[in-house]
Amino acid sequence: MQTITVRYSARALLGLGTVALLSLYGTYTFYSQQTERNIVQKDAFQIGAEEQHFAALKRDLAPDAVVGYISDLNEAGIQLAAQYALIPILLVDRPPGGLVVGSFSRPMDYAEFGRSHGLELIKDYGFGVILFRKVGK
Amino acid sequence: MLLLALSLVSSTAIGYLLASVFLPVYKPAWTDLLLKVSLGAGLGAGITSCVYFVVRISIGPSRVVAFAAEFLSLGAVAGAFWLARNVRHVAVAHAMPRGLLWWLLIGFAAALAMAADLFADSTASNPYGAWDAWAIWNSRARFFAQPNATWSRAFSPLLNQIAGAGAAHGDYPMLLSSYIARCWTWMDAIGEVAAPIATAALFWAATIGVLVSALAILRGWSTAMISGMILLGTACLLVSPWQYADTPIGLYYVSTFALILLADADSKGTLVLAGLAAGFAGWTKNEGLLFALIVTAAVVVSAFIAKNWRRIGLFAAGAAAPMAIATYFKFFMAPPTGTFAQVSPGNAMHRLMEWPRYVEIIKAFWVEGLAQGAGVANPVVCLAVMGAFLKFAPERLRNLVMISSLGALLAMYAGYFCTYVVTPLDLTWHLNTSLDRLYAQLWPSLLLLVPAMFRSAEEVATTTVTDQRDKVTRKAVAKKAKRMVQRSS
Repeated sequence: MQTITVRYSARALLGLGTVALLSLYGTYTFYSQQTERNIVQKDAFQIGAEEQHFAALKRDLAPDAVVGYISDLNEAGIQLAAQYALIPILLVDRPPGGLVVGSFSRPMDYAEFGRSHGLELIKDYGFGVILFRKVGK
Repeated sequence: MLLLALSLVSSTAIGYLLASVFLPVYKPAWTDLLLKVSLGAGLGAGITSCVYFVVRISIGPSRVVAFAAEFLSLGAVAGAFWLARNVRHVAVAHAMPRGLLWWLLIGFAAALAMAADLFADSTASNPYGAWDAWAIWNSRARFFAQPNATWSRAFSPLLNQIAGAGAAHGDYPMLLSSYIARCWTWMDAIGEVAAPIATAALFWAATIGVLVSALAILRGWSTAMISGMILLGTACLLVSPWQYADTPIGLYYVSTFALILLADADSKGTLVLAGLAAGFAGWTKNEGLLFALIVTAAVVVSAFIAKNWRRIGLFAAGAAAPMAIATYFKFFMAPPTGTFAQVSPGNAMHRLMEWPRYVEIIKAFWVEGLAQGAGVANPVVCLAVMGAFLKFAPERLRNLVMISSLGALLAMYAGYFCTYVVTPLDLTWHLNTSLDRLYAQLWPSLLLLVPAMFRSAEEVATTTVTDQRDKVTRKAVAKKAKRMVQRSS
C-alpha cells in the first residue's frame, strides 16, 4: 500500500492563484458588462422583424427574382437587413425586370414618393413595405 | 431540432474518427476524449463543409446526393478507423489533478459557467448574431442552401451591391457558410436561427476543448486549467456569440499548432491532421490563406533544419484537399470584389511610406490590446505573471518546433499589421471594425504556445511515495542506497 504526496512549490501556487483570480475577475467583468448591454441591444437591426415584414412580399415574388431597392433611409444596415430577409431574391442597383422593393421607416404618401423617383406603386404590404415598378417598364 | 443535433453529431463523428486514425490513445481518458471530440468538431465541420460545397458545384442542389456524399464520407472514415486506427497508448504525466491543484477545476468550472450563460444571454438578445453574421456569413449560407439555381448567388458579384462596394463579400471563403447551409439542408428549414447559433457554440466549445486537452497532454493539469481560464477571461467571450468566422478560424489556428506540438511529442503522422486544420483555416477566411502559407513555411523550415523531409510530406498531404478547394474557389468562382482586389503595387508602396499610418495602427493595437482584458486582468498580464512565477523551461526555448510555431504566430500578428498598412479602406474605420476580431482569432493559439514554453507547477513539485507498511519513504531508501554505493566505492 503506497501513498503519493505531491508538494507544490509555494512560488508556483502563488503564481497560479494570482492568474486564476485575475482571469476570473476578467470573466466576471466581461460577463456583467455584456449582460447589461444585452438588455438594451436586442436585435439591433430588427432582422427578426424584417423577416416578418417582408414575408408577404417574398411570397408574391419568384424565388429567382432580381429586384431593385429604395428606402427613405440610406443606411447600409437597413439595406442589408432587407436583403437578408428577402433571400433568395436578390436586391440590385439596376433591376432587369424593373421591379423595385420599397422599405420605409415611417408612413408617408408612398405613391407620391414613387412618382418622384420614376416608380409606380404596385402593392402596399403594410409595415412600410411597398412593391414598385419603374415607369415605362 | 433533432435533425440539427444529428447533423452536428454526424460531422463531429467524422472528425473524431479521423482524429483517432492518426492520434494515439492518450491516458487518462478525459484528455483523449476531449482532444478528439474537440478536434473532431472542427475537422468534421471542415470536411462536411467541403463535401457539401463540392456536391453543390459539381452536381447541383440535390438533398439526396448531399446526404449520400456525407454518409459515404462517414463510412470511409469509419472504415479507416476500423482498419487503421492508432492503438498506441501514450501515458500522460501530470494530467490528473493532485493535492491543491483540484481547486483549479472549481475556478475553471466557474469561468465556463459564466461563459456559457453569457453565450446564451447574448444569443437570446441577438439570435441572428452581429452584423457580419447576417450580412455576410449566414446570408451567403441562406443563398447556398437554396434548392434551386439561386444557390450560386452566394458568391455573386451583385450580392450586397445595394449597400456599396464595401459590403460585397462574395469572394470570402465558404467553410462557415457552406457548413451552416449543410445544417439547414439536414433540417429542411433554410434560415432557421438554431443552426448558426449551434454552429457558433460548437466552434467556441471546441476551441476551449482543444486548448485545454492539448495543454493537459503536453504540460499537465495546472497549465491546461490556467490557460483555459485565461482564454475565458479574454474578449473572445464577447465575439463567440456573434456567429462570425473568427471563432472557427481561431479553432483551426489553435488546432494546427496543437497538432504540430503533439506530432513533435508523440506521433509524426499527426502532422496530416495539422495540415488539414491549416487548410481549413484557408477555407474559412482570407486571413486563413495567409496562415496556411506562414505555417507551411514554419513546417518546411523546421523540417529543413532537422533534415526530416517526411514532415513536409505529411503536412502537405493534409492541407492539399482543403487548399485545392479554396484555391479553385478563389480563382474560378469568387467575384473580384475583395477588399484588396483593387490594390495596385504602386498604391501599396505609397501607403507603406506613410509613417502616420504606422503610428495609428500601433495606437489601435495598444488600445484594443487593453480592451482584450478587464483592466489589470489582461491576458498579457496573466501570461507575464505566469512566466514570472513558473519561468521558461530552457529546453523548450531551444525546441525547434516550439520556436518555429511561435515564430509563425508572431508572423501572423505582423501580417495583420501589414494588412492595415496597405489597406485601401479608410484606416480608422478598418481598424475600428476588425481589430477586436483579429485579436480573438489569435488568443487561443497564443494561450497554447506561450504557456507551453513555461515549466508547469507539476514539473517543479516534489513527489514523495510513502510505503504505508514500514512508513519509510522511497525517497529515503533511495538516499540510503546512494550513500551505500558511495561508501562501497
